[in-house]
This record gives sequence, structure tokens and C-alpha cells, in this order.
Amino acid sequence: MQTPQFLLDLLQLLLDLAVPAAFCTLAAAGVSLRHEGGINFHVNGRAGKWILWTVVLLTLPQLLSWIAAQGINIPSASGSVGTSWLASMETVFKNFVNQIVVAKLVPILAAYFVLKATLDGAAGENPLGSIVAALFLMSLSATMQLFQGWNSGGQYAMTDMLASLWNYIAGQILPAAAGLACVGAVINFVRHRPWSRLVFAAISFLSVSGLLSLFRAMAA
Amino acid sequence: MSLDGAITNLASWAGNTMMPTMAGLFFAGAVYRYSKGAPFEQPLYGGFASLMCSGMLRALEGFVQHAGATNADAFWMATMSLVNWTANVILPMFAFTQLAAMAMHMAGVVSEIYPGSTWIRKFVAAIGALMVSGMVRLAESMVTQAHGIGG
Repeated sequence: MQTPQFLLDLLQLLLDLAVPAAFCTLAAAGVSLRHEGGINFHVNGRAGKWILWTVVLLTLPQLLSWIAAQGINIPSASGSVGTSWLASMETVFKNFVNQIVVAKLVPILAAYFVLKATLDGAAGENPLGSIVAALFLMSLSATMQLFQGWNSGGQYAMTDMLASLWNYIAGQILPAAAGLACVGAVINFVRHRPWSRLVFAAISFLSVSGLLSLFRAMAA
Repeated sequence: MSLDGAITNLASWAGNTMMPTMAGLFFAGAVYRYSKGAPFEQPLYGGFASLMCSGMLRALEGFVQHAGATNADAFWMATMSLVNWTANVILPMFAFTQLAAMAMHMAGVVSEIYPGSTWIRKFVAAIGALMVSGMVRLAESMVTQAHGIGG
């Protein structure tokens, strides 16, 4: 039996909306990151879940191709939405995400986090969490491009993307965080607070790939 | 601007712009605490450390690179390099300061001319208060001319 055109159009609509939805989930990840402290994430926390959904949405076609390879019949998308009112819905949602969420709302959220950083500092708390969350939101578009660049296009694109994300955090973000740890160690030293753990944190940040190799060797 | 670039810029701003500026404040705090007879070593050393944030990061990077950043022994080698550096570089320098202190005690500097006496402390604090900029410049010069380690 042939799949009705409406259902094919609906499937195409959902696939087309995956990337705009991924923008929304990535922005939600930035907000959740601050909720979880800003400089750390909770295991099974919301930031991690939003990041995972971003990856799933960006690799949805590849994930479906894996399911199809298991022998499950997946109706192929039609390429474009034929039903006019569905097509207009798609256009409206894409424009909403691009023109309101990404272009206007996210920069304003980032500005609020900068405001929050100053208030955190005034309240005697660490402002770094709000600063990192603000930077995360300000670099949302670049991060999305980075994620899309990690899409290997194969059936295992989702796990490939998660592996690339790990490499990015370990190889690019943490060495920069090591510099912040050195600055924090000096500030803590002057303020008579524990500082040596930040020195070892900097060493850990710089050698996290090595630590992974070490634990792999232990588990082997 | 990517997230990693933004965080690198944040670390660079904090380490290379804000902390060297704060060094002046730390030196000023050290002079004030000295004038009150309070422990002043923490802000004094903190002032030097503020000028050396990049250098400290380069040193830690050098320690990690000894085994290779992706080597399973990277953390251990880095910790061992840190211990070696502390034991064989920092402590010998500390020994020199102790020998200098010993010489001063033997010469009777501490007993005959007691630097902790109020009038000497106030005089040195006044001189220090007039020289904070010079102290920062001197510390900057010392840090600039220092040689990196690691590699």
C-alpha cells in the first residue's frame, strides 16, 4: 500500500524542522548549563540531555538510515513539503527560530547572564558560571556549525558526533580552562583559600586525553 | 566566534590583562599590611604570581608535554615534573634566602638593628608606599627577563 502524500509531507516537515529544533535545544542547553553551575554539568542533568537531543536532531536522517539497515521499513521523505499549508508552517517555524530565537532572544539571554555575573560577584559568589553560560549562548551559531561539521553522514553519525564533542571539549575547551585555573589559583592564594587543587586541576585539564588512555589501560 | 575561542579569550583577558593590573593592588596591600606589622607575604607573592599567570600555565603545559598529552603517563609525569621542579628549583632558591637570613642573624642585624621595630617598619612602609609603581615595574622586569621552563 502506498503511503499517503500527506503523511510523506508530514514526515518531510518533521525532518526539515530538525535543525531549527536543534538550535532551540542547544539554547536550552546553555540555560541549563548555568542552572547546573555553569562550569560543570550534572550527570543525567538537563544540560547533558539537551546536548544529546541536539545531536539526535542533527543526525536524525543518519539514525533513520541505521534503523532502515536493520530491515525496518522507513518511508522515504519526499524531498520537499507538497501540501501548501504544511509548507507555510515550516517556513513560519524556521523564520521564528532564525529571526526571533537565534537573532534576538539568545543574545538577550546572554546579556542577562552577563548581568547575573556581576550580581554573582557582588553577592560573593563565583561569576565564572554565568560568564561561561553567556559565552556559550553568544557562540551558539558557531557551535551549531561545528556540530553540523562533525556529522560523518554514516549510520553511526550520532555516536561519531558525541565522540567529536568529547575531543573538542578535551582538546580545545579544557586547555583554555587550564589558564583560568591558573588565574583562580593565584586569586585563591592571595585570599588565603585552597589553591593547590586548582594547580592539579590545570594539570588534569591539560592531560585529560592521557587520563582516558590511562583508565583504558587499567580496564584492559 | 566559537566557544573555545571565547573561553581562550576569557582566559587570556583574565591572565594577561586583569591579573597584571591587580598585581599593583596586591603590592599596595602588601605595603599596607607591612606597615601594620601584619603578615604581608601572601599579597607580595600574589603580586608576583599575578604577573606570571601565563608563565605558570606554560610551565604546567611543559610538564604535561614531557610524556605527551595523550600518553597514559601524562598526569603522572606532569606531577613528577612538578615535584622535581619544586624540589630542585624552588627549594634551592629557598635555601639561598635561608642562608641570607642566617648571615643577617649572625651579623647581628636582627638583634642590633631590629627591622621589626616600629620606627623602622613605618619608615620602610612610607618608602614602599611611595614606590609601589616602581615595585610593579621591577617585578614586571624580573618576570619579563625570566626564562621559561618545560618543553
